[in-house]
Amino acid sequence: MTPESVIGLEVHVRLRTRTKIFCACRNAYGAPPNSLTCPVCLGLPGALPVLNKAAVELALRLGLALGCRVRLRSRFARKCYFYPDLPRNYQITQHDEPLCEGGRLEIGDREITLERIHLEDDAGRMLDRAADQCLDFNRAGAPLAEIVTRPDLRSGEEARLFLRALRRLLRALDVCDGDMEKGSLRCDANISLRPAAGAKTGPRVELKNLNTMRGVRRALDHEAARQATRLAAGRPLVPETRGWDARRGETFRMRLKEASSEYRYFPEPDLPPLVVDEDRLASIRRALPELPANRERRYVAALGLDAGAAATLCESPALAAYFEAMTRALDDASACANWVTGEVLRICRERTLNAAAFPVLPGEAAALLRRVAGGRLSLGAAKSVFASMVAEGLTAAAALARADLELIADRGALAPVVDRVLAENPDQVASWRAGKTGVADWLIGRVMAATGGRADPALVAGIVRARLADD
Amino acid sequence: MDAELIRRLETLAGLSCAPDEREALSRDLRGIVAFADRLAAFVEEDAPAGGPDDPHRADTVGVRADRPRPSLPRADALSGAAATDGDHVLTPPLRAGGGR
Amino acid sequence: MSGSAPTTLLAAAAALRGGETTAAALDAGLRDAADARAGDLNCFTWRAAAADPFPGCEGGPPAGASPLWGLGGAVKANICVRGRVADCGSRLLAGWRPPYQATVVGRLREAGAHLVGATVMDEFGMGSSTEHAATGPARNPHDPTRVPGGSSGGAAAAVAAGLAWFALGSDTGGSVRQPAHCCGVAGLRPTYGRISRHGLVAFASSLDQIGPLARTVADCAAVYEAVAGHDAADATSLRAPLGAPLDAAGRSAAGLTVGVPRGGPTPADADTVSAFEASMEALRAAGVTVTDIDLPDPDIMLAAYTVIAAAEVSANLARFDGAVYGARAVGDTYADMVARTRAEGFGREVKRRILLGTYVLSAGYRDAYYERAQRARRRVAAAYAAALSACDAIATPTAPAAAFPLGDKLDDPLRMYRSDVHTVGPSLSGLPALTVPTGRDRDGLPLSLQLTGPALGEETLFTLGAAVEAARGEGGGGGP
Repeated sequence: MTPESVIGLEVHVRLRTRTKIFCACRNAYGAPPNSLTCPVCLGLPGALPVLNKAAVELALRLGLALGCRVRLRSRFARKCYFYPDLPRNYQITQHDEPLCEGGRLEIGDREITLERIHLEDDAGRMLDRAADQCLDFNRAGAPLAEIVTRPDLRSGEEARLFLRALRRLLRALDVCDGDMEKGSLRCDANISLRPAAGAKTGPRVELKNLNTMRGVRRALDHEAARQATRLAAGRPLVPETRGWDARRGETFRMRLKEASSEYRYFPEPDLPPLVVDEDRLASIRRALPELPANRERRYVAALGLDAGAAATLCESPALAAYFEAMTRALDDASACANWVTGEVLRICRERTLNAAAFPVLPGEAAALLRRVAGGRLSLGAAKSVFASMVAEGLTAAAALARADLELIADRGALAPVVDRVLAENPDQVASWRAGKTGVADWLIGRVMAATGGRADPALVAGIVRARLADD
Repeated sequence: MDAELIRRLETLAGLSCAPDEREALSRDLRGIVAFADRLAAFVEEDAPAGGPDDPHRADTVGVRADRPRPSLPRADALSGAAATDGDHVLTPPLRAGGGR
Repeated sequence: MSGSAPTTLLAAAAALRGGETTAAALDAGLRDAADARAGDLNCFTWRAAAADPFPGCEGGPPAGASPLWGLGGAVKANICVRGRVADCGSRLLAGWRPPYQATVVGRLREAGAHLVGATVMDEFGMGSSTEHAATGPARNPHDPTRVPGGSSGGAAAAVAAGLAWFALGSDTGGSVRQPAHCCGVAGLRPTYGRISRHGLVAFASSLDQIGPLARTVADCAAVYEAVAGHDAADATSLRAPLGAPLDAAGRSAAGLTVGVPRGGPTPADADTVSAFEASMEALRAAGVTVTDIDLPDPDIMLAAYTVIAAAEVSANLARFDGAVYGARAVGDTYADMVARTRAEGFGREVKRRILLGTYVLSAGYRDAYYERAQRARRRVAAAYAAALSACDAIATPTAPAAAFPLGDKLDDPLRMYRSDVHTVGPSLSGLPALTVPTGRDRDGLPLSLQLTGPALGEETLFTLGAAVEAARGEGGGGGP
């Protein structure tokens, strides 16, 4: 049998605060090297860390949304090791008494349980050059929430789904933009194999350098296969850290793991215990927005949307908000959903827009769709009207008036056209009389063509059939 | 507390001592650790762990608002570094000959 | 010094207020004294140049100015002054100039004081004799063959020799109090968190405090008042108001109670014991009740302190790898650079403590040493609190004997650590403690009393300390 993959993830989330976790330097990306540093985050002798309130807020928001137990009193700790990107050669993190414990996140119909979430500071960045190493400490001290899952994941795909669900939640909570490319979301994975049901798991391998969600999936799949192959061949596996080479599609050894990494954790004496007020916690909980998973369920159950549409809408809180605003103006959830997951999303992607900045208000989009629902505008026509609304910032009414694309629904205007078409096509009329009722559709088509496709098709059909029946 | 243990501790502590220095240090530490062993007699196992937890210490606020303040000018930040390229601090590579 | 010149900070302040002298004249006096003696004493790492202006010192002190206005003081070489060398007594930081300033330095300047220099210290604060200073030992002004104490030895020597009106040192296990004792000046270790540590190069973070050294208890109170108080840049700093420390130094001690260890002031040599008993007599005569209290075994306190301080310093000194600051050694790899920088830059005592700290925190030894020491610490703090429920302050010697000869304790680290046997208890407990000079031993070397108060009890210490001074005729701050 195929051995079972037993996978856990360690995800680092860079919290969306204005300043770093222990100093008041700006927490920003892309600044010129070493321009966002101070004695504290540089680790200069004599400088002391002071905790950023907002980092705690955001971590609590995340922990509560994930159903964690929050410790009202948690402690920071020093994790000691030497590395060039670590200014003090110890990281300030949380060890024995983390801020949050437990928690869970759903992926599809599975629930992945969490071990803990804690706060810690980020290291600087190292750039290798030929002869030496360059250090940029802009990122040193950025506030991180580390999420550790229990080893509940069973495949690379599940890991990818977990990260997607997490990213969606992070965005909905406004805690982090979840962008792996930018580095605001980083993931290490641990994988071991269980050779047979009930057997012990094999040695754990840690995977690093997983820079994209696809990369996470590919790396885990590759590593699982590598381990299975070795297992089948009777070759030993060792606990180690391996990197992922995306270009070559393989993992490579970075370092062996010693029996235990000797970090010599002890409570951080420069920071008093982190005490969370019960009232504050309650108010953060009350202020939580609707969680994407709950919203998705609600769309399916209460609004009757299909799972795919619901999932797409819930990818971004702004998109969901746009959709919900449309439904308030037009009571047809499906039509709105199709429109938002279709036109609106497409235009957002083309123009790299966030739905919150979409140039057409949901009310106007709804007004346009109302014309379609009322049968006065074809869907195709609506799309081109919408395009002009987007391009020129027009309201639905103005765009429609301009395009003059309203369906002709006036009997008085259509009747002469029908008469003319019937008069011009006496053979087809005779065919119809002879019993070939299908010809009516061809005649309806001729009337539609004569009106440039702008006649109300149902009305035209009615008039044509009536005229044919009359004669 | 022998030279072998000291060598392991040196690696963890980012130190590297000459053999005679290591011998001397191991002697010193043996004496100090033997002294520290007195703690065993005094402390009961069920005494609470952790540092002092005095009531007056609940007075510390210890957190700050999320308001940015000016960072150090880069020249100041790099002013103590033995090697820079103007923008970055430079150090030798992790592995001899470069690369990771 | 001439007979009518002020010999204490407060006397100098009064002379400025009364227009009898000027800040410039006083500074010239300090400079002359330093020119004469600073070389022999080797107490400064840098001295302000004669041409260095001190701002705002024309005319006399404005109304309501701090007593420190116009006066020159020194700071220990581990307190950051922007643009000035803070070598912390180490080769590794030789020539290092911090690009920022310690909070206490800013407060001194706000009070109108200026810096005459930075003082020599045991490397990174580790030592009780200032013999572990990279630039050579400092000497005791009372007897240059003797140590000035440590690690703030340079600071105590500068004050005792009249080269500065006050100094700021740092005290981890006794490093302000024990040098104050050796040099015959007053020295305060404040309640943990009372004086900001922002800008103090850390030795052991849960034990370090900056503390003032000055000629008299009242002088000490004046400096304390100028620099103490909450600082947002130090998350461990306390918000409680300071009260009126200088006033407290002028209050009568009658009605207060002092506790002394039931078994006597041991360990202490004969002269220390008799000076101690004389001080107790003097206090009784001033209306103070003396009662017996119990303190924990000094060896236990010393053991707990040694373990905890080493653990914290092993992490605090990890940052000295030569990358961003400090004297970097050549290496082919990063690890090489780190190991050589530290091997060449750190002295023997520092290496000892780092290795000890690494040992007591590592798996397999941690429970037996670090965890146990932390438990012992809580017990010690509880014992002090219990003792202080029976008295307003505890009296012990500061050290077992007067200043020892240079070289006397360098062979055995434990002998050096034992200099702090009386001072580590208040450090472990986070309590304030004041060293008050009380007289001389048979060799003419200073002796002192240590008063330990409850948390936030500095005022009580100043009141009692001033009483000890007054009763022993030490109010004039007799110098060498």
